[in-house]
Amino acid sequence: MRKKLIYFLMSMIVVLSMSSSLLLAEAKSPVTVTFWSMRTAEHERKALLKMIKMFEKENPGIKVSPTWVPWAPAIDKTIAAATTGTLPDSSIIGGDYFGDFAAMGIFEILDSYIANWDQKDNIYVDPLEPGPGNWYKGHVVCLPLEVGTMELVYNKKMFKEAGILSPPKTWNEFIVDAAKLTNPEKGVYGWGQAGWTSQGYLPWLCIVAQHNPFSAHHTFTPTGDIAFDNPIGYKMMEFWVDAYAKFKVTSRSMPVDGMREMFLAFSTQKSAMMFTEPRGTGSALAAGVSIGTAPLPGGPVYGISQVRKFSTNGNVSIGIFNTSKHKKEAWKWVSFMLSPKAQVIWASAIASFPANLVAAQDPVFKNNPLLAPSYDAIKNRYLFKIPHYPGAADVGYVHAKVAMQNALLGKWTPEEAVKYWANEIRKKMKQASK
Amino acid sequence: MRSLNKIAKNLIPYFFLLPALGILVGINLFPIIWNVYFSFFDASLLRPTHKIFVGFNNYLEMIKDPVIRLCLRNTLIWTFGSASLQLLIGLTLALVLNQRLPGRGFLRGMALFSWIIPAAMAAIMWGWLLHGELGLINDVLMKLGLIHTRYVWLGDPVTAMISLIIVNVWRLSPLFMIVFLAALQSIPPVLYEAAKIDGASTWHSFRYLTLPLLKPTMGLIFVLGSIWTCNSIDIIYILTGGGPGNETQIFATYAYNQAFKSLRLGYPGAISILMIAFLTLLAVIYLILVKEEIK
Amino acid sequence: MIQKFSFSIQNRNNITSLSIYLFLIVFTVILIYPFIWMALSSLKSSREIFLSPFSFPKKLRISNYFEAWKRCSFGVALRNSVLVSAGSVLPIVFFSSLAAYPIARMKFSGRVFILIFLIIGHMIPLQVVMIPLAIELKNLHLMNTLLGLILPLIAKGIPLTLIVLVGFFQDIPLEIEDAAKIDGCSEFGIFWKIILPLSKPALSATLIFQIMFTWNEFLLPLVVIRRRAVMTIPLAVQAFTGQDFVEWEYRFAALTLAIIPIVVAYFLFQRQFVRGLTFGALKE
Repeated sequence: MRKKLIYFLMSMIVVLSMSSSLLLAEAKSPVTVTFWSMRTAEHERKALLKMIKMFEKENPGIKVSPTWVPWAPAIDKTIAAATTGTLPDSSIIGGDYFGDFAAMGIFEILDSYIANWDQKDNIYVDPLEPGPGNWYKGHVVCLPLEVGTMELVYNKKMFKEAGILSPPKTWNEFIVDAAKLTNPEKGVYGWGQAGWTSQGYLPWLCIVAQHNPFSAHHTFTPTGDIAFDNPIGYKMMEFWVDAYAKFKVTSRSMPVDGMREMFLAFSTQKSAMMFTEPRGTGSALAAGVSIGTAPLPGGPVYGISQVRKFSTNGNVSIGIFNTSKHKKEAWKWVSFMLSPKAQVIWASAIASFPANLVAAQDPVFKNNPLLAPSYDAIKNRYLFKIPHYPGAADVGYVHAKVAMQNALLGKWTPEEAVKYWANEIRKKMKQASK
Repeated sequence: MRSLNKIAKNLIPYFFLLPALGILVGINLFPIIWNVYFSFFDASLLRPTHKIFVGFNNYLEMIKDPVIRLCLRNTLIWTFGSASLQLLIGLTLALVLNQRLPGRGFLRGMALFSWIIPAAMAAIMWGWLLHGELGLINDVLMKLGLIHTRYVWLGDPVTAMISLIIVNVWRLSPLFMIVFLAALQSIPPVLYEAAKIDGASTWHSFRYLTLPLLKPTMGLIFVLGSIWTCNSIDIIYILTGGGPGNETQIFATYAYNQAFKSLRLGYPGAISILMIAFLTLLAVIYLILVKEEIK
Repeated sequence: MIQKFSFSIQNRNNITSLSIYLFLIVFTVILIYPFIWMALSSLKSSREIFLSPFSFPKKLRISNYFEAWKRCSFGVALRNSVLVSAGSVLPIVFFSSLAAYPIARMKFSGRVFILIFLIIGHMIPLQVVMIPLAIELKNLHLMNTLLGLILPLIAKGIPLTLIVLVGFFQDIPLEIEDAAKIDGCSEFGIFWKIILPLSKPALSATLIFQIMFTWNEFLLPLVVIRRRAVMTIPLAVQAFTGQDFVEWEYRFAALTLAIIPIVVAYFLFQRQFVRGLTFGALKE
């Protein structure tokens, strides 16, 4: 009978090894560029597939094989792939993780590719600060794929019903208008703040930078210290908290609510205003909401006067990983994605401002009123990149959130919250320079 | 020849264990050793070339980390709060469903729906229900006149934790019920008949007969339920992400954040070792319970 | 044991039994509500879901299902999920029952130690060991293959199955075994011909457990799989989650489709299920 057991085990092993060879089989074709796209909505896929078709026609020897990876799990997936060396050839890169990925050393340095590239002068880079967006330690490691300004998006119909004739130009007007639009019993708020979330801090960084003479445009001072860790930063945080706790013009929302929930509230008319990039209007447009856009409000806040116009640029890039075996082909694909004709398809599909400035001259964009604040910001040079440093993702997704949530809860004073946040950034900077 | 036979005989149990042990050692051993190893290093994915031996520094950091203290508190509340409520509700349901009611098979079948649905899906659904502006729960409570403004259940530390526990209890108590039903149905009816002849009331036979007989099952399912709850990350991650602040952060979510957001290798390793130690303690309790009841 | 203890309904007045029923019905509704809600939402338009999330659909949009099926390549994902579930559940149950047999019914050195080691596997949250596990799978050349999903799933499934089976095997009287031994049956013969047939309830209970776990596993395929041809259902359903919005109607339609096989499996094994989950806490 023991024999039977041994026979059984042996047959199991045989079956397992046979099935494994079957399951392990992986098809391979000569030159295929693998590409991860985090733009996964149906119309975005269609746009990408259209571009791939165009590209493959122009480059008969190369095939592009896209994988759709939604943003949320994309980060974990990229990190796991980086540690195991199973990254694709090329990928869309989220701005939040740019600094981390660059520090991990997984990007192919693009300097030599760009040197002979006919489009290099047409690609949008920060007009005032050529650097942090796509550079790491003096090298270009990514290229911007999409551009978009942080702007005020409002519900025209709700404005009309509340008797508000034009979008607010100052922060004072903003609060007054938001109060008019708020009706807590119906669950309707003037402002969809998304203050609990990781992304809720982007408009806050804008309001600080507007009022802060010390800031070198965003998180850091020219000497590299944290620009908002000072009385002006504390006051701006107080304003942010007051909008929720004192003026009550914004909902508390759920702690995990992110941009998606902010868009949801706006498109279901539960909030009348939000700060986002033009791309964020997609779901509201699909829901039939009549949308107006305006530049961010300005003017004094709590007696502190505005020192500059300011808006951030949502940062979605495209890059090549240095583990790629087909770098040359991958570069062909990346540079194709940034060519004017491809950018027209891409940017109009995802409702963003194109990264190629030749494409930006296309009437599709010029005549789009939703993009007007973006043209204004680029023309008047007040569009800045979100700061990148190794660990920025942890600060943005974890610590900024903890700081903001504790401030909104009233557990920490605005000053404590800002200090905690700034210290976490300092820790990262220290770690990075070690 | 005889002794060879004896050796072969002694080896029989190990033959039976071989496939399971083999695959568990093959798959699990490396990640555990890897975590233990890195828990003694200062290493991060952000600095691929940097790896310094720091002894017990990561463990010392845990003692100093205020979030770890919050995690400890929250993990205990989340785990044992859920498990006790699941026990209570599961037992009540089992007692009711153990009656000879027409259609009880159907009801019993339906009850497990909450458990069949993926945890992530259930969490998303509860997110809609609990939502401040869109949620059904606020609608109902306002119609009943119990609240006057919409309340954001997950926006306040206390109600957030309570909501999370309710969701978890909702999800797992039907399973507890099934386990109790299994136990109830294997109690010999003779015992109840004897008690009845002795003039015991329904309550008495429950208190002095059913309850003591169910005690071992309770202990076991409580420990198992605690392990499942302590390990489960989906509900918390989707509903609160450990927030507001860190008020609903548990070890599992914190270790996950430390690994995938902070990209450190040593510290989350240390946290996971702590977690495994805590859970092994539960496992040992479980084994003691099993042994006590069987041998 | 056929005659089970129960309060007889005739002994009670109608009000009590009515209230028990009411209680049960309310409870059942609470428990199955999400499934109903999901199924109803899957028949709405996106806009309707946002504007009145908890109402009955105005128009039943069956086309959502066709659209969802097509767009996330549900057929391929279904095939892969079935392969992964079957490929991991059967070994889980077989290996666990093999291992549970000596642990429950034999005395040998290292028994407790081995049991603890086997159970610790149940303690480790996958999230915490994901990075080393991914490195391991890479070294075994299992990334992007179904086998790379199946092996970790087997390792993950064995401990709980073992716990249930050890408990059940312990309840089987030793006398049966002795009788078989006198008849000259080997250990494996006893296991195969006596213990396993007697343990059908426990085996089917663990089978359902593991089908559920493997069917719903998300994180592991997320990290291991990147080709569409080997995607499993939880991953394929992600197709409807964008950065800015979720296409809820399709997502719900796909999820409803995904749950149906589990529900069928559950109802097939349901009777056995209840009897199998004694966890060895009972000694008759």
